[in-house]
Amino acid sequence: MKLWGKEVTTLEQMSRDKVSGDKVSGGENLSADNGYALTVSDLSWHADDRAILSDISFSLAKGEMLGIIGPNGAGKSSLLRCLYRYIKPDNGTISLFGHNTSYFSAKEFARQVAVVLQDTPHHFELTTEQLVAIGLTPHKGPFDLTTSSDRRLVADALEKVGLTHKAGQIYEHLSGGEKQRALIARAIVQQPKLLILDEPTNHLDIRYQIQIMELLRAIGISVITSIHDLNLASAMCDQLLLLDDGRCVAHGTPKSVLTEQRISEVFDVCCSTQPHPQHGNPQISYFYGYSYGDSTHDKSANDEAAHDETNHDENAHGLKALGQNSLGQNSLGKKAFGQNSLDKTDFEENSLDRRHWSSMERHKQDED
Amino acid sequence: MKTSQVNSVSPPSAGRVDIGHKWAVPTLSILSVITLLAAASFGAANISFSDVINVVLHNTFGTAMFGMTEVSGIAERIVMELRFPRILLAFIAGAGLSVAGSVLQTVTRNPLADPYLFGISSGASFGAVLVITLFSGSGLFAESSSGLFASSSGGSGSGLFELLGWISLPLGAFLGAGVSVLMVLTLCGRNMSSQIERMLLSGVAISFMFGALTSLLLYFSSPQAAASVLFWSLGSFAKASWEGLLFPAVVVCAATGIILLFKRQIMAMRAGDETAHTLGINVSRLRLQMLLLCSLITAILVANCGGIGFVGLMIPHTVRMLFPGRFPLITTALVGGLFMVWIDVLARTMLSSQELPVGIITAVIGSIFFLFILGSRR
Repeated sequence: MKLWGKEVTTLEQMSRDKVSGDKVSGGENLSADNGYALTVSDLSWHADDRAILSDISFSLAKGEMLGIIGPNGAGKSSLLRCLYRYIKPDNGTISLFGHNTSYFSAKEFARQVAVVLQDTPHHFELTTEQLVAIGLTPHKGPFDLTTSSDRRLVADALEKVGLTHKAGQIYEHLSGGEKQRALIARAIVQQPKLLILDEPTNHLDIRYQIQIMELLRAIGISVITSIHDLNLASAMCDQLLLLDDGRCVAHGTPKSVLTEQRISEVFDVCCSTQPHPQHGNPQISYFYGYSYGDSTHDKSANDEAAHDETNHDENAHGLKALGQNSLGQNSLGKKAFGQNSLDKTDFEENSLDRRHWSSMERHKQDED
Repeated sequence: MKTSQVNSVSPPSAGRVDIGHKWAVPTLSILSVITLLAAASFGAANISFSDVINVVLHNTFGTAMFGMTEVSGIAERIVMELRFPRILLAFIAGAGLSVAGSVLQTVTRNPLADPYLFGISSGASFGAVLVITLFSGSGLFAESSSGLFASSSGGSGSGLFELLGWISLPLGAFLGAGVSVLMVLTLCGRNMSSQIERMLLSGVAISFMFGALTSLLLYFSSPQAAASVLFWSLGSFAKASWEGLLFPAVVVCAATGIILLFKRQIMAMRAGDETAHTLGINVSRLRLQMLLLCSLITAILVANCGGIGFVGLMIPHTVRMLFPGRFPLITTALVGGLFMVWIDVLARTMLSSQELPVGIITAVIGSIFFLFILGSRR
């Protein structure tokens, strides 16, 4: 951690250098941007007669970090794909630094916007250094050779993400967090003004999740990232965009977006929020114990349970989470428990819990 | 502080990869020159290595040097008119097929892609056989089909006819290859995620279709055309001549040069279609361009030395194993050329009375290699 902390400070210095450099070089054609890195208005896209994105509008100030949150299938990846021009929206305009995105050629666009995607193909037999050097592609014509300054750029990027010692290793052999950092280094080499990431913290343990997010903040450019972990989004993003079923439900600071009511409506879970002791943004505590089932028997059990419940606004949305009072009133071990329930349960109930958990996980997998 | 750290850390790690690669091209170039001379001393006629050197010196400087004995005129003609063009053609073919295979494997990200598997070779064979059957009635190809294993055609027939015959065969092969590529591209669809699987499957389908059409043509054609199909399906460098070398050499060199200009983009394609798109690459267009270039190389080679399979599969893999993470196009070309020359030497010397088609040898080695890759990929 100490090492990482040290790296972040040098990183911030460097990013400051970089930002000032950008101002010098990029100032001439970016006069009409009104301080916004990106402005999206009335964006809609549908696939196979199904609306994936409808009427999405938002803007992102330069240098800020926007987190796109929402349940699976809400359209996060599709929105990002529209932003980096991989899919063409049916409606709406996207302007980047004051210009419509169609104004840029493919190469110019790649010099403005770098993208880090979730999955890389197999048989990817590149060393980390070579992977990072791929970021030079949009800056090179067919006859351009890799110069010493390019090599320095690559070395600097590797240093920024703390992977200098892994430069010669095969990318495939890196750990998940290192892979993600290598991809971010590639994006840094691309020298973009906007960085788009599709769930960069997926499959990473918590330390790497925080590391990646802090690294993104330290680069010092505008960042748009989709993110699953609401607490991480709350802690790290300046702005959040909450998507549900292709619609923008809320947009604003984490404090204004992440309310208990909204989370329960969009994500179908029960939670309470309180200010985080360190950064003051909402800290979400989820409640557990949702009875999933498709049989009528389950349903009646849940109805019964819901009937006995204490008043919980959040449960109006078809939630079957129970408060702490309702313990022991469920039939057939379809037990839901509240905050304190774990203390109260005896061994037998614990084993039932475990069974319940495994069925929940299976249910989730089916959904995915 | 920053620079000192970079300097102290990056050279060893970067150097380890670079050193091997840095020496690869010079070493292989020297090996190629030696091979060119050494391979010329193998064959039916007994000509020693020193004889070959003597012939070369005699031809370049006009005199035998160092008091060496004068080589007989026949031996000199064999070396200069039969063996050197043949070795060069083998080298060009090996290099071209390896480059095509390497590029196809990269732009489709399919480790098993090769010109043969993509239906390019069978399309080219069909085009060539079609030209032969169409014109065999006019006597245009009587010679080239019967004189498969003879080096130079006589000189009968008018010059125009010969030119037409000389140009229509590669043209037919190229058109056949082009048609097969376009069909594969139409079948593979626009859906990026499934495009590559579909591409391979449609390549196999197109391969079978052209194979069947070739068989159909053969069924109704003269025995001469039937004999020539053996050449097109198995490959041989026996037809090599200095004049015939020009076209393949120019095409292979030019195509390799163009591919080298797109090296960065091709490299980036490895990161996946979507990532390549975000790096400013027009993915489908680049893939189309590279497929067309590869089909051009393959078509011209098939037209000159038949369909030699598995070279385009084996060589890029071997080179990639030796130099992981690079796109070493020149190295691949040189290794492919060297491999092909020695396979051809093997084909010429394995049986004492006659020569084997090279395609048989490459197919034997290649199929074993194919299974080896399949085994190691899991």
